[in-house]
Amino acid sequence: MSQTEIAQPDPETAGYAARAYDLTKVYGTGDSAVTAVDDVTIGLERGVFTAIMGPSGSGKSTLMHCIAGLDTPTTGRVFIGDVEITGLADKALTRLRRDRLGFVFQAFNLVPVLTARENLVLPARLAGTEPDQAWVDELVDVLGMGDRLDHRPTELSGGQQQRVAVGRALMTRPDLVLADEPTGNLDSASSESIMGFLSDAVSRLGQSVAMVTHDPWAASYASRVVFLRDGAVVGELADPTTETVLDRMKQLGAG
Amino acid sequence: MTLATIAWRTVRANPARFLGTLLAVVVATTFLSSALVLRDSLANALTSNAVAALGDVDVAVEPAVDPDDPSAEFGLEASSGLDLGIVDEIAAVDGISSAIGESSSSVELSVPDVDDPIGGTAWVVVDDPLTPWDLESGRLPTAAGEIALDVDTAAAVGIDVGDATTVTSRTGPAEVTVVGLSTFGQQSARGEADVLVSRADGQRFTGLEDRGWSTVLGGIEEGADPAVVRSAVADVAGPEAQVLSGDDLRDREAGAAAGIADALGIGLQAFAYLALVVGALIIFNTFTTIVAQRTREFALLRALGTSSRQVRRAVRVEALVVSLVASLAGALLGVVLVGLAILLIPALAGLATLTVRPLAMLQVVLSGVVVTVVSAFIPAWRASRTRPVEAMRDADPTIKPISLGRSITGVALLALGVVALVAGSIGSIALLLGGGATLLLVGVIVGGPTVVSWVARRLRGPLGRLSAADEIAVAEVDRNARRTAATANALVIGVFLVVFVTAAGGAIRDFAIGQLEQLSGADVSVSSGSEQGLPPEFLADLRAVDGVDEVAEVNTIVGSLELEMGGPQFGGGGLPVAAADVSQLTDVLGLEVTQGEVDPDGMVLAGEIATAAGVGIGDEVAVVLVDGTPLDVEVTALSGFSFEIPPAVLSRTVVEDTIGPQPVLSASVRYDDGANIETARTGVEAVADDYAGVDVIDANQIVSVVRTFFNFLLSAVGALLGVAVVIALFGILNTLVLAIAERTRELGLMRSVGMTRSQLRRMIRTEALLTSIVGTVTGAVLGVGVAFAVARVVLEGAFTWPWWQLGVTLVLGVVVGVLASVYPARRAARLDPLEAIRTG
Ligand SMILES: Nc1ncnc2c1ncn2[C@@H]1O[C@H](COP(=O)(O)OP(=O)(O)OP(=O)(O)O)[C@@H](O)[C@H]1O
Ligand SMILES: [Mg+2]
Repeated sequence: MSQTEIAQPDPETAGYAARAYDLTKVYGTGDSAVTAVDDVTIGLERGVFTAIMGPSGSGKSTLMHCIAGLDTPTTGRVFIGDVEITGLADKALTRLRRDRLGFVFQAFNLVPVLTARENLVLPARLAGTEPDQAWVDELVDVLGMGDRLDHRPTELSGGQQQRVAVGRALMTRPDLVLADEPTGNLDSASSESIMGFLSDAVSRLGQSVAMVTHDPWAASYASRVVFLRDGAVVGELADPTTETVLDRMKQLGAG
Repeated sequence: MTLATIAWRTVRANPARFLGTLLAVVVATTFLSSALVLRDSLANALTSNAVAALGDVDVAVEPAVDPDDPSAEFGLEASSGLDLGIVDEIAAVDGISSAIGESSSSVELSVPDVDDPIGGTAWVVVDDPLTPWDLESGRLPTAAGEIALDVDTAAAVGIDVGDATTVTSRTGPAEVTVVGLSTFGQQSARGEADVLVSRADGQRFTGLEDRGWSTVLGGIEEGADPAVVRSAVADVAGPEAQVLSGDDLRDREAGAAAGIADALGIGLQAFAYLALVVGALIIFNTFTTIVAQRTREFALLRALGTSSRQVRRAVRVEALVVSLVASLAGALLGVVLVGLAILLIPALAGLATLTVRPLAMLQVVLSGVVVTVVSAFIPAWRASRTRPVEAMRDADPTIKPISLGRSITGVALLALGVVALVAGSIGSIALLLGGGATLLLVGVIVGGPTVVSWVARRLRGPLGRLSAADEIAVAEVDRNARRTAATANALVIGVFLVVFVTAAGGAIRDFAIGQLEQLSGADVSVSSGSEQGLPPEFLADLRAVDGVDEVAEVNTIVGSLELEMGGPQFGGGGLPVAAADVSQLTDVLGLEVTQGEVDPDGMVLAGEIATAAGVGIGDEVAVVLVDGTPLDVEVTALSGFSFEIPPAVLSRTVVEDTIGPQPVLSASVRYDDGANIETARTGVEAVADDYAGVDVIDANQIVSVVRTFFNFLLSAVGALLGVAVVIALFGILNTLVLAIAERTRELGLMRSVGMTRSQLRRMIRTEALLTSIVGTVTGAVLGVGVAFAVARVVLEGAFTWPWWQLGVTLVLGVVVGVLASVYPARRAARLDPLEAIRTG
């Protein structure tokens, strides 16, 4: 935690899509208390693809949920852009998630009764705004799913479902896309198309993305990797490759 | 761990899942329980009261009922009572300790500060242990001008012992003094209000000297043989009288009381069982849904070696546990409700003693349990057919597509139903009408899912334009069309019955009123409440009223006419024959002569009856007059029907020349041309007020009485059927709670991608509204359709479209939907989005 290369976000700069200060999340009380996130301060820069790695149970998902406003931190503060979300009421939080964040979960990303296309525009529909048609067309084009888009999720493959989920996350051009093991359930070909899709969004559109993964190969698409262990940030790696990530993982696992 | 334990834990762990079933069974069994407890409480109180009041009576003497007496056929009491001297003669019989006579007549009590006179009954009493009344305070009346009044009436009007008041009887108003306050058994009064008068006032208030005693009650001395004494009494009483033992009399009184309670009990039970049937639909739906949701659990149990019989048993045991809890609660609640009603409603307090019979409670619990367990049969069977491999499947087990066969059958049934109904209606074929209605109801059950799915798909576009929440709600309704339809069906049945009864009942009411309005020739009628008829003084006063032109006196029943007619129209008895002044038949009494001429020596007979009996002008018919005298008369005129007079009319002079003067039971009044109707009416009322038992009914009032009666009946039946609608509401609530449990992940996902709590609530509400509106509209359309078809046949097409009621029903449907969604929507909104994501 004392490692000097960890970027300390500067509250004055607008260069961050999201920031967390002294974030701690404790589940339960007394003897059964589990500190899932332990005093983490982290900044996710705009236009950067950040990967978050760590062993199972190290608090990756919990950190993400706190940043997304899906979970309430025990102590600490979270900002999305300039807006502090800690202490926001449910309605404001929900709107913020809808308009300024995009989500990709490991599985079950789509509403079963809506077609893929309807799922794609769901956040805009919920906001009651007309989705930007040119952008929809472009996304549909990039998704490359053709007429499969008019099918229900149950009629799509896992990879297709994840692609639609990523498309939906990008749809509102959010400040930040949060993805929790988006390729966890997929084969390598599907994983590749999802990762390509996400990194394109960062490089071509300047989209900010934070992604939790266990896969060093997937992490290599990111330009920055943050390592967690026992709820704390224990290391960071810039411009990672599969090999450097593996090395660092071994190093951390040993130390 | 036994399966019973698993079942019990399942129920306990998921109470919300069974909430709808619990509520439905609780409401239905509460209804049943209160019906039975009310019946028993009424019967108990009425019976024990009859026994308490008449406890000392050992022998009773009444005028013999002559089966050949025409007045008995018409349900009138024998007009001649027992001789006045008979009381003393019976008292003198060996072994009789004492004897008293009973005589009563209706009177009105006018109290200075109370606007409307109070209707009651005057009874002649003497101070004797046999007298059924007890005194609360003061003494019994002993001289003319003294009365005792029942405590409740006295309290209600603020009269006490020593106060003066006015009692109006058949002979006009009289000033009296209250000398005592009475009770009757455990009740306050025997009738509406009891006015006890002394023997000296008998003639004035009850016509005692003219009519004689209606009953003589006697006590038998200790040690005497009751049978011997009774036969001695019978010898004294003669053939004109019949003798009953005290037990017979009490049994008869108690039996009559129990009969009233029984009839009420049967009626209420019918509605309660109907509510239970609607509840059965909801139970079926709940278990079907739960079983579908637990497919994996059952598959796992099966894979682990549980037999299909054991799985079936497990579901049934769950149903048993739920229904036992609910039925016991319902039984108890019913008792509490009736208990509270008796406590809080004074009118009921005197009539009922809270009585809980174990057998009645058993009936309630058994009904609830049997209905629930039977409703869970098919779901249990489905659960037992779960194949072990389904434990590994990922597909959503709750949704089965609607088979094409079912869709086609359903739509075909609906179409056939409509055709049958229309054909039956046009061709007046009752069988087709009934068949059509049945086909439609079956069609709704079979074709419901198809219709729901079709409606949902049509609505998706327009509603989707309103909001995403609505669109998703419609899509969910479509996805779960079977379940939505099954939920809506509970409402369909309730609404169908309410609308059918209101529409058909309303049509009958309006038809009846329409007919009545044509049948009145007079402006106003007066009728007598007692068999002595309208007093001559009153008729004289009536003629003197300003604005009254003519008064037509009618002897409503002077005899009977035996006619050979097919069909049961007039039962076994004869047709009542009335007498009136022939000159007044057409212009005052409104008889329209259709054929022949009115002749003072002949009879005017309603044309339709003449046709039915094959009688024509010039034929002789045999009339038996009230005293038994035969009289052959010629039919000289045929007429239409009139409200003022029965359908067979003789001339008064002919009747009176034969058997003497007869009581004038009603009189029709025609006003002067150009008279002020209001003034004339007020004058008539003022005269009528001076005489007890005289009712003024004008043409409009008859109509309004009929209307009031029908409206009361319709709203009472509507309210009772409304319980079924309430149960259907729980069905919707139930389905939503189950659906939310099933869709936790989905809801969590939507919440995390930006659905606000209010949007979520709106989504749930829209689902509820769709279900309730589909159910209400279907029920209402069926109800009105069937009522219309029936009215076409039965009422010759007279049908008032119940727009107003339909509007109310529709609003009700919306309200039901909104109400049913409140709790589930709250539950869904409280859901933590993270929880949902984690379970994913
Ligand atoms: N709702 C909860 N209640 C109690 N403890 C929890 C809860 N959620 C997570 N935890 C605990 O917090 C710690 C961090 O969990 P988290 O899900 O964030 O880990 P993760 O890094 O995402 O693991 P994985 O790689 O397996 O997804 C774990 O020890 C976990 O057991
Ligand atoms: Mg995780």
